[in-house]
Amino acid sequence: MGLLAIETTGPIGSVALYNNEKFSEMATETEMSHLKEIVPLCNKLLLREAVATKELEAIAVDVGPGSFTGIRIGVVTVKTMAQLLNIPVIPVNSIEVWREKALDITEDFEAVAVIYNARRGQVYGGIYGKNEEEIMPAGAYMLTDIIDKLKEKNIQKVRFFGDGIDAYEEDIAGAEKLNGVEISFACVEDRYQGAEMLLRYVMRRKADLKALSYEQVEPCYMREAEAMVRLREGTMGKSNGK
Amino acid sequence: MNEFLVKNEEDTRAFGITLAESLKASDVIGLIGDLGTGKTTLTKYIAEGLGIDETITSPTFTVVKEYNSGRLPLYHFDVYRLTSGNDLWEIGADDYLYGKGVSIVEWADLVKDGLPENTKFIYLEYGKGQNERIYKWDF
Repeated sequence: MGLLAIETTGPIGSVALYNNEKFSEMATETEMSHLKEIVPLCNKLLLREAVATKELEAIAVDVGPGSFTGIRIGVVTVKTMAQLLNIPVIPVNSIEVWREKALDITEDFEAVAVIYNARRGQVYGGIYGKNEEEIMPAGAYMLTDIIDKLKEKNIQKVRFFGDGIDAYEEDIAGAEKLNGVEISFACVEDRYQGAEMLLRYVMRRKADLKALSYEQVEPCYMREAEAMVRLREGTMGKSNGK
Repeated sequence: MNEFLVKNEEDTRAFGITLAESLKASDVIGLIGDLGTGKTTLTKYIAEGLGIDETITSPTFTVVKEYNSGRLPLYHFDVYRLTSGNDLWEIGADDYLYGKGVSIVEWADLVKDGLPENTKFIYLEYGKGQNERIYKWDF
């Protein structure tokens, strides 16, 4: 019985399969080509691993946060497949998956900080510690909130993951509040969401995750409501006016 | 505020082509002006400056159209039917606005709160004569 996973919330799309106690994965070759490539990629992987669709037990999907369009492509694709195959869906929060990296924590770093670029100085992110404890829960934050939390918890060695690095690396490296902190940034191969990591997370935390019917699966944008953003920026009450 | 007097469409074309030469990936141009001031016409000439050979048509109903035949992808928005920056986000515009092409947004004033901070706004006004326009910008 096989488990399929689809990951489309980041710049590279990927699919993974768990079957016969083995993990396998395939990724798209170009960025932002999820719509074109994700279903053919599923086909290719199942063919290569000689698994028929009727052998699939469930499909796991990253429901976000992340790229708006990417989330929608993944969610719609998985809902459709699950409906056709009559199997359940395991929706997973994109940030929570990075707890897998907390397992890699050695003397090189003591905390994992994952940040996705939400633009305008904002990130979707979270911070996890050595025992997978939640130092900062998955959420939508200002980059400065993440930095403040690292300082507040006195984290001395932190490794960053996620495409937020590409946007904010300089701001993080130059942050005064992190003076003296050993900051490392995951290398490019390790930096982005991937379907195999998603699948490993699902296998490890099977007991905690819910398998839903396709109708119940919803995207998780985790976007700050516009009202909150405007409250914070002091632009509440300004109208556009046609 | 910079000003440019447009006496006829040739002037619009010159302006558009010159502007196009300075554009880079993820640049966003916000066009603000009443009906008939020539927002789509200016967009056509910016597209020409980018080497796009496809015909530019108004995206009033589709909201956004992509053109990929130029030196940079062009994402042409007409947000007349939207009411705020939130509407813009809801259609996934962020992937375009912060992407690898050039975005031109007609009626940008309607969605100002949803546009990137470095958006280049151009204000188009009627001039004295029938074909005259005045373009203003401060970037």
